[in-house]
Amino acid sequence: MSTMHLEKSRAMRQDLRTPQSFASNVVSLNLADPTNDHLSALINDIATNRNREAFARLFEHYAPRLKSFTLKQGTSPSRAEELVQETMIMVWRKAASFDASKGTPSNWIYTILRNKRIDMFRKERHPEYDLEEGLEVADTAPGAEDRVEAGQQSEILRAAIDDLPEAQREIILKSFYEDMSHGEIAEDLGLPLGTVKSRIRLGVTRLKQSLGGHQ
Amino acid sequence: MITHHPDTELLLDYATGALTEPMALSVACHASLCKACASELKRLEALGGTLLEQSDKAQMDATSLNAVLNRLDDPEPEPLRPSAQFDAESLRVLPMPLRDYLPASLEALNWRHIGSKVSQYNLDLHVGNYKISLMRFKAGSAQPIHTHKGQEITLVLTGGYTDQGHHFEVGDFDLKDTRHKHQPVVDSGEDCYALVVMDAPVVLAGPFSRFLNPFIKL
Repeated sequence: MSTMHLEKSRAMRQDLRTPQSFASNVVSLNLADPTNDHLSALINDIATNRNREAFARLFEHYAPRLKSFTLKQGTSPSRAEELVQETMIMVWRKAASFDASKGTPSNWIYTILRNKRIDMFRKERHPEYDLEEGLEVADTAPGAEDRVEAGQQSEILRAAIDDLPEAQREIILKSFYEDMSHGEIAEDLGLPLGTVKSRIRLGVTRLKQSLGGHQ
Repeated sequence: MITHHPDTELLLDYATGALTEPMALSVACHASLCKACASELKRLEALGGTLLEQSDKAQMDATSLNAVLNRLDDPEPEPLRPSAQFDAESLRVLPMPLRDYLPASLEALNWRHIGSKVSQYNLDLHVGNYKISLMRFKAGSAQPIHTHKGQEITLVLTGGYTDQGHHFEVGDFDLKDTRHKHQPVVDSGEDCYALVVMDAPVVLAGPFSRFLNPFIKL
């Protein structure tokens, strides 16, 4: 890294610690509705250049959404604030592990939030799967077409969730928002376990169909 | 070929973070060996990503961003345990998620031998009543008949076995509960390594079981 570059990033860091100059920065960046490509580029910039400005922009986009998502899970505002901050620090540390060809920035950040929540609230780890080399054969490797697909995936999924029969949607949303296993959901709703299992299976199958064969 | 997978609802629980660590470990190990379930988990996590992306924006504290920026250069916490250097055999046998839970290569682990046909190593992972073990069953051996008070998950890592007419091989996710009484017979040819997660003790069901039970602390 050149001296000039170092000085530049130091100046930028200084800049970011002053809230007012940061605010003016954001206005000029017009990222009201960033695409997945924008967000991926920010994460890669963090990974490669430890770019704090890119991080601030990513924070701007995700922190309020992470907080709202966490509040829906019934977490108190102060705990939610803490969880979001810890999650964003993990985003900074783990940026190099983000791979845009394997999923959208939101999917990746969702898993970081999930793991951090388990770490903070349950003092447990969430072991991550890592498909062994050789198993990821060419026919499923995401190509250019699939990346476009990934960009639209969020819209398609959202619509598909809305289209689910109420009984299936209720249980799937409860799984994500109320931090309950399917067994706990059955108990909570006073439903037989078998009913909850079959609603999950039907719902997930419908969602899968809506995504088509691009998996 | 993998023919036994975790149910969809178990995969959903993994994706939402509702599984306990031992259960999540068994699912993660399976999905490291099973392309179909890895894809399924990706889809379910994408559902989480979608719900996150479409969330309303809640107001963050005014000082939040600066608080985080000020902490970015803090030293990262030490990992729970230093990662071990594994020999080639261990790398062949152990799927990635399991490696974090072992202090050394397979041969260097402190195995407990149960008779001449079974060895057991208990993972240093303590959650509720769970017992999480790495097991090594001798090729060609028949295991004692037993039932379960709770659930038992066996994830095959090498070799295979046949139980009640079903064959289980590398990557297979074998979930048994109190309804099952079984006596696995291990394939000949190769020892069978397996990750075994139990949430209640095994009950031996064959002759002499009352005598054996106190000694076999499975």
